[in-house]
Amino acid sequence: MFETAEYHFYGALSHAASCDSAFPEGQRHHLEALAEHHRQLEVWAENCPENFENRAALVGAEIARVQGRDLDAMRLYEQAIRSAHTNGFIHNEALANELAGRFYAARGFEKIAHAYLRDARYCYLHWGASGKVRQLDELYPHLREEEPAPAPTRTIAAPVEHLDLATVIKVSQAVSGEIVLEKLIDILMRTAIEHAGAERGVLILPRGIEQRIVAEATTSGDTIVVRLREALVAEVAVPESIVHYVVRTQESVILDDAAAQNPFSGDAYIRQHHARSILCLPLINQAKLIGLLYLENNLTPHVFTPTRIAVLKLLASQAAISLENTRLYRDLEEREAKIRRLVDANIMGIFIWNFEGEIVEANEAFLHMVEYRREDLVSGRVGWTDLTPAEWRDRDERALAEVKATGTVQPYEKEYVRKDGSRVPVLVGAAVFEGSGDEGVAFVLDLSEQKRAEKVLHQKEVSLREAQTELAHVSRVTTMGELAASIAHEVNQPLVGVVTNASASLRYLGWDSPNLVEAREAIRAIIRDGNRAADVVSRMRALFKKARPTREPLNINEAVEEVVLLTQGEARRNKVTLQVELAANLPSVLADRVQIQQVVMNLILNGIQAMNAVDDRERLLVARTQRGEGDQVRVTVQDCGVGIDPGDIERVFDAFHTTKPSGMGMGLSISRSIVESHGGLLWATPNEGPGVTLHFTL
Amino acid sequence: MSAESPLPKSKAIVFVVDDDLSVREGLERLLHAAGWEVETFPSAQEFLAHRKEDIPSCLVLDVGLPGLSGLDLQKRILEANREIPIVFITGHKDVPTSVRAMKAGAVEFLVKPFSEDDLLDAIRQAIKRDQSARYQNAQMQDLWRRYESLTPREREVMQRVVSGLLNKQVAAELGTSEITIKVHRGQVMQKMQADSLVDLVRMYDKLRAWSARKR
Repeated sequence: MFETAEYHFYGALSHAASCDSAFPEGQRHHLEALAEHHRQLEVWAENCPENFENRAALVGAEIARVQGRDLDAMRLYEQAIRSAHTNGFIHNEALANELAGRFYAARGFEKIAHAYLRDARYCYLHWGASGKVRQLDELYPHLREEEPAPAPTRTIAAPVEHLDLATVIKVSQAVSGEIVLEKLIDILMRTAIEHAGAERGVLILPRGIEQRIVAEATTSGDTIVVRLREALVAEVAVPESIVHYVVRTQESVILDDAAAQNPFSGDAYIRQHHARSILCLPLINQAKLIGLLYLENNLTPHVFTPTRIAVLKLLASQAAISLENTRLYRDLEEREAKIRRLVDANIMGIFIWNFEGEIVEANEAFLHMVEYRREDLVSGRVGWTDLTPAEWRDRDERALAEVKATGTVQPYEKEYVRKDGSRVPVLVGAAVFEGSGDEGVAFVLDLSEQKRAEKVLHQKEVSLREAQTELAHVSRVTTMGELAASIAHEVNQPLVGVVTNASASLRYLGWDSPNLVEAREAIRAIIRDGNRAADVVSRMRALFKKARPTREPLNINEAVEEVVLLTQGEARRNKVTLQVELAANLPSVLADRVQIQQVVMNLILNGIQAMNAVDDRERLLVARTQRGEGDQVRVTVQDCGVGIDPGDIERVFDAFHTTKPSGMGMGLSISRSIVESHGGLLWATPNEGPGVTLHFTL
Repeated sequence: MSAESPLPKSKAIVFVVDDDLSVREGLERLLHAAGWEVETFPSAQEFLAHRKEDIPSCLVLDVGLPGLSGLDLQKRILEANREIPIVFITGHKDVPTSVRAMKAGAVEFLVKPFSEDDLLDAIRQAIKRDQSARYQNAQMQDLWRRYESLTPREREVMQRVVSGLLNKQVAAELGTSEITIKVHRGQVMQKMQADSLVDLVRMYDKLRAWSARKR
């Protein structure tokens, strides 16, 4: 139905149009066909004037035109336009206006024709029939100029309709192919001047908050000269007010004739240079102002036609992208240069590696650290895995797992093997390159100096500790000396009494008449003083024994573990491995915790000292708890030290017996008396291998 | 030693100062058995407070006395010019202390337990030293008494005679006659009980040295 309706309408119009150029014979044929279509449209118009009145009227007008009924034609054209307009048939309205315009034009009514044609163009434009607009513009150039726009300034309303595909492609290719900024600018300026028909062009790029002119192109005859320059906008001949307007609004400014009154008439440049055609385009990429292209032609007004402007606009956006690209490219180069600087500064070792174990690149600092030549590493003959000593491979594996999981490795210490086989201690951190997934960069810091310093410090600490131990020993010996002196004094006094009385009694007895009374007195004194000496000795023993130990249920495993904790440091210092084997489910024993721990500590310290001279085997000390007979527990401490001569094995428990050059020989004697006071036994057995095992039961 | 001689050859006394009863009693008994008269004191203060007979004596002194120590007592005795020889006994072998004691005039420094012989030898030596000191002291006092019996004029004459002046030279210096000097000289020789001029000169030197020491 719809197609039928359109068929009648456009069929009629075609016939009407054909009438003008046809011979009389053909004209009649056309008229008959016209009448036929018209009749049908009339019928429909009767039923549905909204849809068909405009069509019927227009076809009627055409018939009237062909038949020379000018008044009817005028009336019907008007009716068609009005109806189409009222009912929203903008294309029909355009068509009616165009036909009316031609009708009047053919009859010499220029002004009326112009009015109709202008409306026709307007309607076509609104409808979106840009081809028709272009056609009208070409047929009636003056139509556009009088477009009801906010002249003399205006924005380019994207008249893609004017684009010439070949030009567009050429411009695009020319501009987008360039990545070097200078060349890009040259091409941009030439193309712009060429296509816009400009006499002079200026490219303005923002530099920070300022706008700077970076290039100026001028025409001289047929040649275009592009000069790259750097100047502030104010310093060079451009209308500043226009530039600022475009920067602010990011919209183009076109002055068809700057000499005419316009918002920028006040600009000094425009007045001085008698500028005529001016075009200032913003170069915008992704809503960001990349730059400005300023073009002028001071010879002719109306140079920058829609077609040219459309091309220029495309050029501008293409140029914006390219300019942005070159800027990014330049940034990249600068960043690359900075990274280069970091790498080549050789403050730390840097190398680029891949997961295959190769070193892709390395800086001098790294090469210096490992003392390899660049060719050795980069050729792939020596990979980073080869630089790592065997005992550090595990750590490297962990680092590799870390870098695979997180992309980076926190710095860790390790060693590299130099070309000559020596080691260099380093701190290494690494990261994979984003995106590549296979390559990464590693940062290496030489720790040789630190290690040396640490070693010196460590040695100082060791000697300090030795000095402390020595001091402790000296003070202990001093204490012992003082103790001995006081004991000597305590015992000496009665001894002096004993000796002098004995001498006296001998003398009394030796007298010519022996003085028995005095001698007897002297001997009594001897007995008294002897007893006194004995008292001193037993008092001393009591002092050593102290009070009767307290007896409480004791978890022997806990007690041993505590002592092991206390002696761990001493064991470490003596490079002794302290191994503990504790039996489960041991009964608790009634014992004085502190005393028993003193015994265990004594045995452990003795064991550690016994292994001081051992260098050919691991210094292993094993402390065990076991179940003994009945409800007893047994603790053993086994060393692998110098051992004891089997004949001497009981003598070690004698007071003052010592095998150690600095020992006092009290330890095992006291330990035994403590164990025995608990009703237990302490004894020693030689091991199958080297060393001795000490046992005690509770 | 002379174990068979129960009583001392001459009257002498040994003082013992020690805070320890066993030592004090043992020493007392031993020294008594060896024939010495003994007096014991448990502290230095008690020893100082005791009024002592003026007979040859010595002091057996413990170094480590509580309160006033043995060395303190030695110092006090020296200051009081009592001149009693000291035998130190000590429980500690302490070299600096022994050196100090010996420098201050101790006879011996014995470490307990000491041998009987060492102690008795030291005591004998100490008593002997005191006896001879007492003898010399008595002689000097006798000489001094003789000197003090001289008139001032006789002392002036004696002074010049012992310096080697002739009678007439002395007479000239003192503004008198040679004959008067001769008389004075005779008095001096008599009062001083000098056998010869040489004897007188020796006496004069002794007096001078003694007075210098006393001063």
